[in-house]
Amino acid sequence: MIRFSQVSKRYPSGHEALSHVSFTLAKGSFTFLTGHSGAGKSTLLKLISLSELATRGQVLVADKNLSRLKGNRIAAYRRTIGTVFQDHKLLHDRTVEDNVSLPLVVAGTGRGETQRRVRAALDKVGLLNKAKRYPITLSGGEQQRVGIARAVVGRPQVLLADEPTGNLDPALADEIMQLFLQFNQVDITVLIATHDYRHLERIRCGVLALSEGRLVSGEQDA
Amino acid sequence: MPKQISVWLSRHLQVLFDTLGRLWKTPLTSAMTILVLAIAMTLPMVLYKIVDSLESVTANWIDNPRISVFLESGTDAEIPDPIEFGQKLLQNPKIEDVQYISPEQGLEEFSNLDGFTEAIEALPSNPLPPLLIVVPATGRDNAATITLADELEIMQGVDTAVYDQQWLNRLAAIVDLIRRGVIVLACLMGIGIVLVISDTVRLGIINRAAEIEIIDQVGGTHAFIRRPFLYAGALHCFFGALFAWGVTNMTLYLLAGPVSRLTLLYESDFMIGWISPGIALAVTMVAVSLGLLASRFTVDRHLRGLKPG
Ligand SMILES: Nc1ncnc2c1ncn2[C@@H]1O[C@H](COP(=O)(O)OP(=O)(O)OP(=O)(O)O)[C@@H](O)[C@H]1O
Ligand SMILES: [Mg+2]
Repeated sequence: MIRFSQVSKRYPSGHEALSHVSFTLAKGSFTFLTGHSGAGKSTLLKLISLSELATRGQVLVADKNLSRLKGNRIAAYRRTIGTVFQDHKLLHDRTVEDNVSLPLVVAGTGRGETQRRVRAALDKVGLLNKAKRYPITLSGGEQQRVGIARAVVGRPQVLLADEPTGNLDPALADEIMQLFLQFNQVDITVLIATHDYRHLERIRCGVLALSEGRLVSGEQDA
Repeated sequence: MPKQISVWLSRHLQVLFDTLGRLWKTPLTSAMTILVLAIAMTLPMVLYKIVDSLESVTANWIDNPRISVFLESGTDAEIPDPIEFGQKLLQNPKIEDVQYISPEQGLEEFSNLDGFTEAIEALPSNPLPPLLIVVPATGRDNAATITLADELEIMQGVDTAVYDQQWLNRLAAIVDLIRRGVIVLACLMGIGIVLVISDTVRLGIINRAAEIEIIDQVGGTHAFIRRPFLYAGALHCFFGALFAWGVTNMTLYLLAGPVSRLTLLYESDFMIGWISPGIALAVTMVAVSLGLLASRFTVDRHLRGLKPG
């Protein structure tokens, strides 16, 4: 599903955030991405969500070479990817349901279908009763779950999450991890960047470990 | 296919109403922007209308020249009767028509004009000479009219024959000058509209930068991101044009009184009237196009900054 071959990313500042990274993630896999702060985790996720382009090497997702995508193809590709941001990135002048429906509105989904799927996504994260609230009136964990609902509402093939449990208490963090595992059950390929090694011990899954922009453990083929 | 059209339509209607809602939410800012745009459109429209009316009047005068033949007045036997004199002139093939205005008629016309009534009442006797208005058969052939006027002037019984071509030429030149001024002004105002819309849209983008980033991230196309800003640019200009239409007609109405009083002195049927719907529609369309162009340009500059570039 996701295939990196000899990928390097050098920022315009000259800093090389990733060097010669190669790995393959199978469809429907569940993988943690670990590493110290500044190791390049966020950078790697940004290459997959096409927020950044690789400087060298190839990033293939669902057999598409991302560096070749242009214009509306980029938008279409992004609709197949769901991203959960550490800082939620919610719109504070819109209700919870309007935030969650955004990927569907953008895709031109019909009104009835949109409503149905937004309710389903909110139900999944346990926030159906707060659909009409504004994000600012929700707790941090609730806001994070709104972000997750928005990431999955478009039924993506790939779900990316950048430290989704970063500043949540352990019980809440476990709850959110359970959610990701559930999405993985329906064949979504999940890749989660995390500092939290507790999860690594408890959940049976693949691990990609980065250090100084190099892959130090994980699949090295390709 | 009809389903696609209805989806497309409902999407556009939604953006339209959303944009209207945003305009309504900041009434003062919107009103000020629309007012500035309206002023930019009103100035050239008012001037255009004045020039247009003046042009039609001068064209009328140039196409249908008239010679004013003032006859000698008195009871002398050698002085011909004005009506008989007119009949005689009509036999000249170079003359199309002759109209007699007696001193009494002339006086009456003057006393109808503001300000003249009292002056005329103070006169002991009618000072006006009999007047024949001669319409040449040669149309707008200027040289022929001048020759005819010269011929008429040396006839016995004629005091003077006046054909003031220079005055008309000068008026036509002035009208032409104003017409060019209108074109230059319209171009400048067009640039003004582009600048106002660019700035309005730029502020809108700054206010919605977070939203744009998220929409881009969840797979919104550039067309989708652009749409509300295109509507904002077009709607500002549309309302500006509507407003300008009203203000233009109001200005023309205010000008109509003095202008008709002024032109009555020159014996014309000069009427300013209203701006024609065709012109108003054309101005609206040009303004809306400029608004679309300016917002498209401004949004695209911002979109180029989104990754990957
Ligand atoms: N836009 C950028 N421009 C320049 N350098 C950047 C940029 N983004 C990240 N970097 C650098 O690239 C390196 C990797 O950053 P990245 O954000 O991928 O780390 P990370 O593993 O996500 O760290 P953290 O756990 O703190 O989030 C860092 O040294 C960072 O300073
Ligand atoms: Mg990071």
